[in-house]
Amino acid sequence: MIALAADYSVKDILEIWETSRSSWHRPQLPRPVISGSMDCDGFPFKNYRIVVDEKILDKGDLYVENFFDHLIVHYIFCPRSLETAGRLAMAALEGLANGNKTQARRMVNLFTDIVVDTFRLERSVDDEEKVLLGWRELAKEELSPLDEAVVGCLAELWGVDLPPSDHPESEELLNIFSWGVKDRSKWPRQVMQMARILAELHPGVLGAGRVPSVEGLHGDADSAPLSGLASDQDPEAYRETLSVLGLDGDLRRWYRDQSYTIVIRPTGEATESRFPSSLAKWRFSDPPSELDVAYSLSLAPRLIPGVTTYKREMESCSMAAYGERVPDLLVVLDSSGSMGGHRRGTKTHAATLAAFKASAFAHGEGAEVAAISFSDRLVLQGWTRDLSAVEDVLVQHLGSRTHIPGREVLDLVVSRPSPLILCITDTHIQNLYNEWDYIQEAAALGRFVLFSIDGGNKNEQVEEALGDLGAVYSINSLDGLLSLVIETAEEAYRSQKAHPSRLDGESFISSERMGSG
Amino acid sequence: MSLSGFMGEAYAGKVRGEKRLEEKGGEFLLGFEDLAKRLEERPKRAEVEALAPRNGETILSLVHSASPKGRREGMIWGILTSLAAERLPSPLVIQPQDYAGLELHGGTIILDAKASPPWLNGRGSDGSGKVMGSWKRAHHLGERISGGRLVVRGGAGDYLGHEMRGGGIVAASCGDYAFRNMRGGWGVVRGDAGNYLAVGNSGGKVAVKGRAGARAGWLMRSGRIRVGRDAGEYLGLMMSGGEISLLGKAGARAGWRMRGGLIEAEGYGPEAGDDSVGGRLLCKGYP
Repeated sequence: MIALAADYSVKDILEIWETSRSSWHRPQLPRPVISGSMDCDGFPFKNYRIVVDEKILDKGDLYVENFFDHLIVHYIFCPRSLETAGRLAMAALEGLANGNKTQARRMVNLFTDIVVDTFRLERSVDDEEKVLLGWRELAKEELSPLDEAVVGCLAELWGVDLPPSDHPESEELLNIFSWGVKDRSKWPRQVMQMARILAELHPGVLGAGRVPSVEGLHGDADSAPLSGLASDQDPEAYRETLSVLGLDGDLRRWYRDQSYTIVIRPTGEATESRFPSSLAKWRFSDPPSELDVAYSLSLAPRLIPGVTTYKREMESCSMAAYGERVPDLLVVLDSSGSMGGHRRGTKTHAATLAAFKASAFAHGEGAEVAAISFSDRLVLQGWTRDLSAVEDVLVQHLGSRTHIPGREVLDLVVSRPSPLILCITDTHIQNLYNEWDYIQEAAALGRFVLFSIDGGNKNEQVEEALGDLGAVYSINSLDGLLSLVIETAEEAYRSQKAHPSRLDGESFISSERMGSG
Repeated sequence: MSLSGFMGEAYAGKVRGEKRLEEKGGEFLLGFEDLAKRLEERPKRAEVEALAPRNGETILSLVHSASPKGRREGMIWGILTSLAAERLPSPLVIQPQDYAGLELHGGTIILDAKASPPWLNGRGSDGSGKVMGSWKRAHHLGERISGGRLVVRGGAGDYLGHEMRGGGIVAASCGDYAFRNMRGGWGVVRGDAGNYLAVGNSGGKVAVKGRAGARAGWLMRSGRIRVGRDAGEYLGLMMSGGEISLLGKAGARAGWRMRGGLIEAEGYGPEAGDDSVGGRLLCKGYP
């Protein structure tokens, strides 16, 4: 037990914590630790904690409960998730003309604080008392212009006796929050407008610290997929948004987060068996073969259709396919100048996203992955189970001309039995004649699939030559690339035994985009 | 126990019976920037109209609070001024700014340097450094208007009344390309007009009390231009219809390659009517 300020013990703190939790339907959150206590220093994971400052403990039980309530509502309502926090950060950055990340973080914190406390205040009289306790404590201190404007706005918004403000910004803030705080779809626009209004005011104590989120609390903010955010922004804007949240958003994360919502469903080979289950009445409309005569006669001496006639319901179950070796994957990615670079909507974007997904999928299936990024130079990662190393190669954009590295492809292919070779290029290949023999040999050893972007502007001779190697897909729309890569991955990683319906030419595309969280 | 009774018991004392805070209703709009953010790169009047508030006073407060940046926001602001003028019972008096009165259909807009937002009560500055009373020569005023009046109490910049189809514009003076591609309505310039006045017009009337610059009435097909003093060179260049009337003299090459229409002036510079295949050049005082 740790001795604490104001005669508080850890037990007392935890009692208040449990009271707060019970007021908010007992959310699954970690117990708080006191700043500077042994628990705080000794706990191995930095993030997974709610830390209470000892200064807060001096202010009484109700104040501590208010503090806990405030934190809990942050984690269960606003911003709750890292994705929401990211959307608010993105909006705050847009609202600030200077793009200052510290200021943007302050705006997000201020906005979420106001939303949380307005939400609490509206809930009950008890909550109102606690909320006002916190703000009145703050109002006793010397306030900066920004804090004054916020407190003045809250005085008007809530109709309470907090100090009014003569800043015109207070009135403008009031206009933002008078539309209500519960509608999440309004939050980004509200925070953007708030950032525009408060950008020039000197900050104070309000809005400092990191942006709360459940992922941040659980310590997995660095790996939480922010697919919606990544899809809506270019890499640089994405990096800036994440840096507002105190996270690194490099190019690899940008692609990884986007690829998270793309689903590859390998159609596994399954053995199906049928077995009898419950009893049901046999009627005239049922096939005679289904009538269970022996059983029906065991229940009644005569067979009266629909009355004393019974049949067995049949159920079927699928059995998982047996394990077998999966082919390793070699991704050969064109990163020449004609691919356009890492921006949304370019050939590089579509190709790299498809390559990321295919690599992650193959890796998940247990395959080893190798990658080559080429222009007239090349970056190569040999066979490995280290997905990060592969991703490092895939995000290279080398620029310049298109020289396919035939010898390197062959060197990688010969060391693995029948690997899958995914080659994504816009087929303006300038050294195909020199490298032809190597590529032909590699294609004979593995399964070569070429995705030729820019199908409308294709080089007929190159296409024809490459067509002899294996499957060649000419792609006119970049969306088609992703679907085709997924289809190829699905085919390659499902059971090696041919599926009957596949022989009939039925499509197995089962890719889909899930909604972002 | 009914569900409401059960919920009431479970949340007894934890929730309010009545709403504590009032919330605004209607179309959710947080200001000019918020409106602009929701519009496309080339905003159309119908799109702005769909998102803008219905009430003229509310639009007016948006107009006053806005600091449009760039062409796109300028156009949105201009359409808002038109919507406000159409919905307000009295004329809209605002500071001159680019695109004011864009696509105006009715009502009256007065551009006055001394105009100030209502909340300033006639004070000299709006707190953002914008000083009231100093005249700014704004461009694209009254573009594509089809009705109503635009009064510019000062000099207008370029493209005044560009592509107007109806209504009327009055300005103290104007820059280049005023009343270009005009199809209807009227324009009055109480001082001098810049170059390229009423280029490509197919209707409407333009009156300039002072001088007109070079190439007035270039490619004119129909409509009328009246100039109180002299005009620059190439007056009525390649015009095929309409009337141009000068109380002063025309510069060199008036009516050059003219195919139709009429030019009337006190006198002409050298090479007047060269290469013309139609139309008439009249000299006042001579039959």
